[in-house]
Amino acid sequence: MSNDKKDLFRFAEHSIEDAERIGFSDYSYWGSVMHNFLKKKSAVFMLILFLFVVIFSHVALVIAKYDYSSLRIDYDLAFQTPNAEFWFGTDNLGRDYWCQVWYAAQISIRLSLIVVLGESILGVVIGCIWGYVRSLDRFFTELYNFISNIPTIIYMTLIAMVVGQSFTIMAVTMISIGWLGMARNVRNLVMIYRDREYNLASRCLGTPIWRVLHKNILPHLVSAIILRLAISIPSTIAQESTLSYLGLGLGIDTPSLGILLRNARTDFLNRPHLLFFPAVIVSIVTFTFYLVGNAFSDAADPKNHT
Amino acid sequence: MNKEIILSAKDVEISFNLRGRTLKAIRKCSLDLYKGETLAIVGESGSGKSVFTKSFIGMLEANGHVTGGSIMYDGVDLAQYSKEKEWMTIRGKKIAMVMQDPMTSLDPLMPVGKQIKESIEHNQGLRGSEAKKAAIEMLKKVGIPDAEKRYSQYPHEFSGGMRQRVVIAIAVACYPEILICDEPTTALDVTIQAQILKLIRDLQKEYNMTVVYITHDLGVVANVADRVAVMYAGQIIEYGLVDEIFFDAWHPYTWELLASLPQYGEKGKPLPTIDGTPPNLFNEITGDAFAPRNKRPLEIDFVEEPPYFEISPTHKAKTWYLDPRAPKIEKPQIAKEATMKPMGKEPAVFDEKLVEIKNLQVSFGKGRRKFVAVNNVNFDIYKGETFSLVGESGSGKTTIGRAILRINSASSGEVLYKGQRISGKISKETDRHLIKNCQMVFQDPMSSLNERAKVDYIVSEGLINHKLYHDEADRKAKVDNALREVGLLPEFSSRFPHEFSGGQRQRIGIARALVMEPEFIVADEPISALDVSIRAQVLNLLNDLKKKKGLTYLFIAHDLSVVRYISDRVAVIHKGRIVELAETEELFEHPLHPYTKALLSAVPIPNPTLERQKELLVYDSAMHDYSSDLPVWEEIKPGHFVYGNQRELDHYRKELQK
Amino acid sequence: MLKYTIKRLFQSVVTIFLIATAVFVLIRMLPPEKFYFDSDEQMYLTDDVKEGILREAGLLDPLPEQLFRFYADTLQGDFGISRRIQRDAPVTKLISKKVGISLRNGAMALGISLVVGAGMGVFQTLYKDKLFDHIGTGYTVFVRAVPTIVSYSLILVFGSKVLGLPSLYSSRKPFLSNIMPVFCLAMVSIAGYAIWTRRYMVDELNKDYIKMARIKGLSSREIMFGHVLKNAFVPLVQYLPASLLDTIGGSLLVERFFSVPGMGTFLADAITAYDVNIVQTLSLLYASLGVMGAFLGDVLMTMLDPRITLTGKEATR
Repeated sequence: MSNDKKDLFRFAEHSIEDAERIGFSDYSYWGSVMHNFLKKKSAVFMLILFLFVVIFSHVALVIAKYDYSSLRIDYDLAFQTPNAEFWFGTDNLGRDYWCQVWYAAQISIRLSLIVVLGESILGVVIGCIWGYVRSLDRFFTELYNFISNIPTIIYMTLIAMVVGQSFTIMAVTMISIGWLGMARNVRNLVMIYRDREYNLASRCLGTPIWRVLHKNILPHLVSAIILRLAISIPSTIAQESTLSYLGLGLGIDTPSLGILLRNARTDFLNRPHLLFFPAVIVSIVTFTFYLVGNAFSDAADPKNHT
Repeated sequence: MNKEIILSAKDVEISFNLRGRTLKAIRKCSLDLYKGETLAIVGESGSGKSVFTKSFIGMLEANGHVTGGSIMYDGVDLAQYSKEKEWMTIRGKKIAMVMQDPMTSLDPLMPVGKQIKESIEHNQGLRGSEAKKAAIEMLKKVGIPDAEKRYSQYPHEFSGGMRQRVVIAIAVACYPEILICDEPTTALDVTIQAQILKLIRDLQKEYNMTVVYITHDLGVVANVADRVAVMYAGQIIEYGLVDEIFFDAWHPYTWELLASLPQYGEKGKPLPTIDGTPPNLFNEITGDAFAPRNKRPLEIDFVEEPPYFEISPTHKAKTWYLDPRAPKIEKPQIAKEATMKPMGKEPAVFDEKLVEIKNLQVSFGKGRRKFVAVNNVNFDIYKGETFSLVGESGSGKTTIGRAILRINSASSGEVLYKGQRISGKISKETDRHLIKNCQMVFQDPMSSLNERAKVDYIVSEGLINHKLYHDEADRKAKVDNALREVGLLPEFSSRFPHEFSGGQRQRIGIARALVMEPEFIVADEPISALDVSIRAQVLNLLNDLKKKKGLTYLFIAHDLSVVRYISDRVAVIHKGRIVELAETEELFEHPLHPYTKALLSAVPIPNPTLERQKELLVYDSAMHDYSSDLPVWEEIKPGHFVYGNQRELDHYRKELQK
Repeated sequence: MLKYTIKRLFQSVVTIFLIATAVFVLIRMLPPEKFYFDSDEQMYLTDDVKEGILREAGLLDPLPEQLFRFYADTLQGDFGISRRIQRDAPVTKLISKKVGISLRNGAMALGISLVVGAGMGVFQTLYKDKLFDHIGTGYTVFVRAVPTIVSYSLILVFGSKVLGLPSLYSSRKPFLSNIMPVFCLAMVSIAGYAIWTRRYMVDELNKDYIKMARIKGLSSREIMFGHVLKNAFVPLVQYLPASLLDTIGGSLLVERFFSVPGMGTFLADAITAYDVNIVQTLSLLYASLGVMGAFLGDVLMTMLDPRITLTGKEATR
């Protein structure tokens, strides 16, 4: 120890403020979410791709050489491979495939967005009530068990047969069954947060239930809800295409992925463009949305905020 | 002390990678462990006490690594071990460990006997029925009655204390040389804790083990340790024989830690506190890590890290105070005396009843699953007093607090507030009035604040609910004022809770209650989740507020020793029933009910001399014979109530006359 | 245990009863002439004659009366006759041929998905964050994100072009014909089992009792197979009913897609043909399968997990 340190051996100042001080940070939840999300380059790319396809599905119909409503059957033009006239080729009836595929994509996207929006709102609202109000738990649980033990496709079958087939019927039916999954998910989470001490504190302060849900509980569910959405869009599109393929979905005259593949089922082994275009476009939509949703859900999880 | 060193850690460094940042959890930490001794490592959360010992058996989390130093054991350097295979020669066979939470330490789907058998087969080389016999023997040894039958039962059929016995059996069945106990009793009730501590001590003798205790509880340290090592910010800052640490500590952190214990406090006077919070180990630390919190730091503390200075051959401390160049420093007076003196009584007259509880009963569930949490409870709380309710987990103490605040509803009986009934159906107006006047402070500062709301909203939530402000500026002023009152800066109001330490969060929770300007506060274990160095801050704050604002507290706690400092009257609750109630000193000097006595004897006192003399009393409710002579709630002496039948009461009266 | 099983069984029966009622009432909302007469009859019979025939058949009776008749018939095993697909043939006779194929394929798919899916999950956990784990995750993401019909099409192209499997069901080559349908059926559940097995195992691995097992000196292998697997399997049982539902839902599309002559194809045909008795019976059958699956899942769960108190269990899915 050198001697020049000797003068350091005297008492220094002590301040309570220094001891209390905490590091300053201008944390904001959504700011961190965006920051985390934007850090993931692949997710950003997926988002751009998703938006591009959604927007382009509208543009494509405008720039198309044929109008969907005025397509004519012409057997001479059947099974054309993609060329300058028919960008995606033609189907077995000689109709332009480009406008059919993009029209189908547009319908699938619109339907799934409407359905997912509807079932999320319904699901979150009912899930909150289900989870928060103890006395209703029994009722909703029994209802859930009853409905969810039956394959969804059976409902759709019966509805399609008894009520009929249209875009609206399909959307309403899918929402009226689809909310269950979201509600269950939200309910389980609400029950976890419901009895946390900070919610008891709110009760002691006389905070009304709706504000407890809105301020204390819902913000904690953002990540889980987004994750659910990420799965919901692809599964809605898949369900729609399944039903349409079985002839139970949208009407035969409304093209959708299911209808296109149904019409092409016997031919696409030998004429791959009939499978390729609808499959790739719809898969891009579902795949990108799924990955974007997952990435966003991760970004929204406060555990990943530094 | 001329003993054989069994394990020697030298300059150990351990760091963790957390999302790209490096946390230096252990910073050049050294320790020698002697054969057959009991060493207690004491420190606050984040001090690294647990991480340090985990590195002895390769149980660090996946993102943690030993980055420097050596851990010599049996001629090999454990710090160099990285493969599973290498550790398999140490784990169980040489060093075993008991973890904190017995509820999660056992495989829920395997009978407990089999879990012990696994350990025996693995480490003693016995097989089949022989191993089973040995396992049953082990169960008996750790004090589990009916061992043959219990052998094939599943963990969920055991209570917390019993499970911890099983965990200990598993660890000891390895016949380890060193047993590490990582807060083995923190999750248990005090009476169970005392039994477990005794069990470990007995087993240590029988199997000739070296025991390392990791704990934050200085009472436990005084009870078990031969030697003590104090950890702060990833380093051992002082170590020595237990008496040397308790009665002749030299590091300012050790002093202040001991001085701030409520057990050493004097009624009516504030406890000495340690300001601030432990340093952030993500940052590089220069000098003495404790310097910013030290009330009398030396300038060199901020510049250079002190080396160890020897006080006695067994006692070393890492502080510049011991340097010959340092100015003379007077050590603060910490309880040196071998007895705990009465804390005295604050002269005060309580005559106005604020809360009256009459025949209160609270039950949950219905039919066969009905559970009576609170059974026919009677007591009054007077205006201006601190009334403490003490009991173990599941005793119903929290339920009573919540029943007063109408979070739980009373099944029968009634609660009066200022003479007005507030249980059962009440008018909206009364409810509103009640919310404004009665508030609660919660146990766990981590879960009692909404992580996703700013402090501003959290504190003004009550104001918003009841429109208790004129305009936005008024609301802001009220929030700032409340924050200032609890010793926080008003500028904190725009922050989120996760930026604060446990003690600061607890103070935000108090500000949230204060802003309503209540008369009565239920404080449900407000300090038990806090670090030892922070507790005094919160206790002082509660006492200050009481004086300034004439508040009345219902203070709920599980630890009698803490209660002695803060309360005017104490009630002891056992299984939903209050068994004894008296003024604080009366209760501590003349406890009557056997449960009160057992509880008092079980609480570890942070004073090794006292702990050595103490005799552990065990309470068994089967000792009461209430078959013909029914028990009553009797005021046996003015202000001193006890629950018992006539025969017992006669006995208590005689005891009081002595 | 027995008490719980009986209670739960009773619940399931009530559920099936309610479903039967709902299905019947729903279908009776269709105008009877729409499903009772074929197109020729609709055209040529006068309204009076039609009404006479319908009255004769009891279709114009008040709904409750029809409903009770339906209960009585069903209890006796009489599910009515087909009107459209094969006039006047008993539904039971028509269906029995189809049920065998569907159930066999379904059971095979379930078995395969459980073994392959759980196996995949186990290996993903063992090689966590290594190549195999990433491949497994890739597979599950693919299954979840790409519409099933597209994946089926890809399997079809691959199976018939590369492996030379029959692209449509052929009764002369039943084994080869069933390969692709069974694989398609199993595909979704494999992903489900893999995801849940991996998640539950990783959850278990982080628990204290695993640390305790390491402390007493057990090797990773012993811990994995002696403790983790069993504990992870218990919550996995909850996925059993869901995978059954997935398989049922999938079977309709798969059978139609590959023209497998099973229940699914038959149901789709019956719907297009408005053959109500067949639709009714098959819906009931599918729904009962779903309900019984949930029942078995719950009972299995209580058998495996000693912690579950048998009185107060609610659905945990």
